[in-house]
Amino acid sequence: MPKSVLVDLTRCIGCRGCQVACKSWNELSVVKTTITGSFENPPAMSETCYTRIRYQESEAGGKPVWNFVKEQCLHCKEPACASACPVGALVKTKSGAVAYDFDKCIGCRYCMVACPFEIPKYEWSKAQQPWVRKCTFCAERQADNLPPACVKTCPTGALLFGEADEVLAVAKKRLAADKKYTQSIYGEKEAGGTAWIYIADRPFAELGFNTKVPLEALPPLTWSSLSKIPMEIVGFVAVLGGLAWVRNRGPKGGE
Amino acid sequence: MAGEQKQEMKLMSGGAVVALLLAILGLGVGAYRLVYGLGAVTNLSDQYPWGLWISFDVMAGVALAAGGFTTTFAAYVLGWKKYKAVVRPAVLTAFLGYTLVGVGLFFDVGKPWQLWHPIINWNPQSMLFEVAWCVMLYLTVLFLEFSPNLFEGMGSPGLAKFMRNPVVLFPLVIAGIILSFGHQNSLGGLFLLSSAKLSHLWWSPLMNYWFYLSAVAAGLAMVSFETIVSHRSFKMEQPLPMLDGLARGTAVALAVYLGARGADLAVRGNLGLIFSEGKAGPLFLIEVVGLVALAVFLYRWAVVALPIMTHEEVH
Amino acid sequence: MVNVNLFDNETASFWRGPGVKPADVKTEVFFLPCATSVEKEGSISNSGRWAQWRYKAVEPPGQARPDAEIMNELALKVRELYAKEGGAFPDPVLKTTWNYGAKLDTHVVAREINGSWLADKEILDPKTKAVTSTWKKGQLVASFATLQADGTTSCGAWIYSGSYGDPARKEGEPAPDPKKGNKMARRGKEDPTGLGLYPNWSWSWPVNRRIVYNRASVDEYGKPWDAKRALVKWVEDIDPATKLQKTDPVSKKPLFKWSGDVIDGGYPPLKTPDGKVNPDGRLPFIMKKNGVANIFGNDSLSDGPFPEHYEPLECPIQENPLSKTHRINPTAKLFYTDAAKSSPEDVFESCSTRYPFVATTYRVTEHWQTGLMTRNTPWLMEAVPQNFLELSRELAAEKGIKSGDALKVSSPRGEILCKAIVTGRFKPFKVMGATVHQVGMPWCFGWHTPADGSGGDSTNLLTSTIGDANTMIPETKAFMVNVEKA
Repeated sequence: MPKSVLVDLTRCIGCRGCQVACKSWNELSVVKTTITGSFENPPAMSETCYTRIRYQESEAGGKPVWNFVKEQCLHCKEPACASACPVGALVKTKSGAVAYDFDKCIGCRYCMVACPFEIPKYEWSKAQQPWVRKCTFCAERQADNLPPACVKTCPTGALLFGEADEVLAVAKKRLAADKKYTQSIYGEKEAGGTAWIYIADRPFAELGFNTKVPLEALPPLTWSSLSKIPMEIVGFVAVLGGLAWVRNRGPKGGE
Repeated sequence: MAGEQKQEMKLMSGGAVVALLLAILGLGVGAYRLVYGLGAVTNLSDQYPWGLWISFDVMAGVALAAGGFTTTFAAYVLGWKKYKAVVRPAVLTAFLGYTLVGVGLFFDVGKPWQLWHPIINWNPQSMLFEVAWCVMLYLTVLFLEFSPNLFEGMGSPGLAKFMRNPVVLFPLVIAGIILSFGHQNSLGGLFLLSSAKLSHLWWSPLMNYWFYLSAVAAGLAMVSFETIVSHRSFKMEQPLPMLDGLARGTAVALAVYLGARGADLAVRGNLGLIFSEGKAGPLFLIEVVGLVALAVFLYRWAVVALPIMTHEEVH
Repeated sequence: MVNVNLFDNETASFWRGPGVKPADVKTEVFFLPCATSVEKEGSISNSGRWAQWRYKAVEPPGQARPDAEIMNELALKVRELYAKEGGAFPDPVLKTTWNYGAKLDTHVVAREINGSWLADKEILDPKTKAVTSTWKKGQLVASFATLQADGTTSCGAWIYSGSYGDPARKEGEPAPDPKKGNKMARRGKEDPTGLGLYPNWSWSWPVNRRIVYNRASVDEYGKPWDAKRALVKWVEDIDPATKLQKTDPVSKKPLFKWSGDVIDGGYPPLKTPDGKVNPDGRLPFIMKKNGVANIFGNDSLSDGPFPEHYEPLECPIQENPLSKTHRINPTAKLFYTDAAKSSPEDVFESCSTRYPFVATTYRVTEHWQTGLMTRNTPWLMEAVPQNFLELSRELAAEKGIKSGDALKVSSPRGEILCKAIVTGRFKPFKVMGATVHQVGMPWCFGWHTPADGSGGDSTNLLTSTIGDANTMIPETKAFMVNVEKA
């Protein structure tokens, strides 16, 4: 049964326990950072940062409002990265995680081009064995019936981990029970639906979410073209063969 | 073959020296890349995972090497004899071009030693998988198409004759054209997945065909260029009828390309994007209208200008 | 100076700090690296009075050692020196009981703190003179109630008596591991009252009472005020064997007892069932003068008991609008009196145009206190790498400051550099007609770490030197600064 996580942004307090727990569990290193104007650090997800909190300040009704948004791989149901990878190094697993097989990867980085959320990061600094790096949904912890490290650490219950259909049901229930929530779930339809879904009390566009992501899965865009190839080959053979025969028959045909 | 002369060649001409120096520099940078990683020799980043090597070497390079299938189509499938002379250099260019694309890719991928993995790890859903296989198969076809020349040079005229036998040659040519269509198509199709990240002035569900058409034009142009330069170098007379034909072919291909893209934009109601997408609009206009129209214009003009430049008459 | 710590820090390395010439410093500093809590075995008492026993998970790195071992070795060395060289008064050093040996065992220390019997003893009921309990020399003290004033008991801290017991010994079986008597190591997860007391998890001082003054939760008849949250209850004392209520052997009266938490003061309820005052009863707040709770906990305050508004030592207005006679708390401990007698670090300037902004200090989740441990933790430093000052959009516009700009923050006591964070969460105040701006900074940074100084120096260099009237806590949450682009 695929798992899912509901991120309820109204419960996130921006403590960044998830950010540090992820680093700790995955033994990721750090980069030198500076304060560039907000609490956000490091400045972006990278080969050493699978998840991080964005700090979003704004105003509502004349009062300051501070929102915190956890970003990480959304583990799409039909991942563009998995369909793009020529060697099948990224696959959507039964547990819900989009898993990366380093041994298969050739480092072509097409997954980075394909992902509509721009999630996969690359180990540019490594010469030997560079990896594509992104949230793994703590697949090895899940295999031991443990929740992901970030979920385990979250002190407020902003991260709800469970069976995908149950998690979605909880999200819908919360939206119905309290009109403070924006009445839509980010990730329910984006890119054909993702395992990590979000609810919030502000419009997603104002929270820095990419609202231009198509509401359908992306792999069919490629497949609709690829699936025409067999037919095209047959057509070519027929046309070229016919042409060649017509044009080259007679005494001077061929050389 | 008419018009060819054996020439005494200087091995280390000025151009060759420059090329050699560039090659040494390139190999040096390549070695550094292998030892210290992509980050050490490129400005690639998570925001720009593909750079000049992919856009120029792979994509533009493959398009420029497209002379192989276009000339073999003209010379063999259509039986237009006047292009037979240019098939050999065109196939050689294509073969070298695709080989160098492979070399370029070797340095570009993160794990060069595993570049060959698409042979054993399959993901038929992937456009890049299709590119990989088509290119690998096409390289083989190119090699086989070029092999008669090698066999002649090695002193095996029998094998050469066998490879030129229409029963062998024609299937190779047709395979080459199909495989070229396959990977030119899928190179253009790589960005089908990026419908939300690309401006729809360029993105279209048919964009893979546009790439193919542009490759036809680019291949023919490249063949013209190398014909002019090589004839100049070997001090041979320019084959003007053929050049004229190539020029017209290029112009036709460009016209079809321009027309198809324009129609696509119009049918999808995206012409307005020219004005509504900020910088993308003017860039689009420059590229499509400017470059393509200019090229079409120039090629027609070449028929007038070429004789003046080469002091030859067009027959 | 001896500095025992996990990491080198501003205090231990003051002699090579910014602007300090080591040659001029007359203090010799010894730095003794110590072990963290996971590198040693012992107890940690929390603010809920639970002393939870913890274990050693890894060896301390390099030369780091547990504090107890450091103290033990120092003590043994000092005794050695006194024994060899004598001294002004060697007896307290040489004759103190110090039996830990070369390798200190924290269990031995725990048992010492708990207390033990130095001689055999029978405890008698003061009224009836009947023997209520018998103790053998060497046994551990079970409760502070049995501690004697005649030298038969030894105890390190009476509140911890009972935290370590003698494990039950079965007839004919070999002596059990004494550590099994360590009540602080218990991990029972039962919670019979359902109130989160977990009486068998660890041990709380005193006598494992989880909530003190718990008889305040019942009425005068011993019935809980809130039946749904019964902490203690006056109930029939039932004999578990016969299932019948016990009776007093002498008076034959039925016996009752307190159930639930360890009762605080085993007195019967204030009233008997017939509504008469019970002479044996006693009010629940047994350590308080009047047996009832205080609004002010301490019986003697320097100021109070009623709150009064005073301005901080440095404030943006001339007078205290709520007091004609006192701008600041007259009983606060002020360090600066005049230039001749006082230290320049203690100088202050109130309502000055040179320091026009109210500053306050606060914390961030990622750093703890002054940042000694957290500034040495790379993941936390990546999240909050350097000192910053938050200011309102209005003040930022006034000073031409953008978020991310380098700032110079100064007060009469010093000047530090940091980064600006412009935020809508600070808004200018209107105080007595004037606009007063407030800014805020964390106080977790210091010059020592990170080594390149990019973290910035300590915010507390800027705060004023005045101690609270009762607690001496300095006024770090309100002082005046100036802020400029660096």
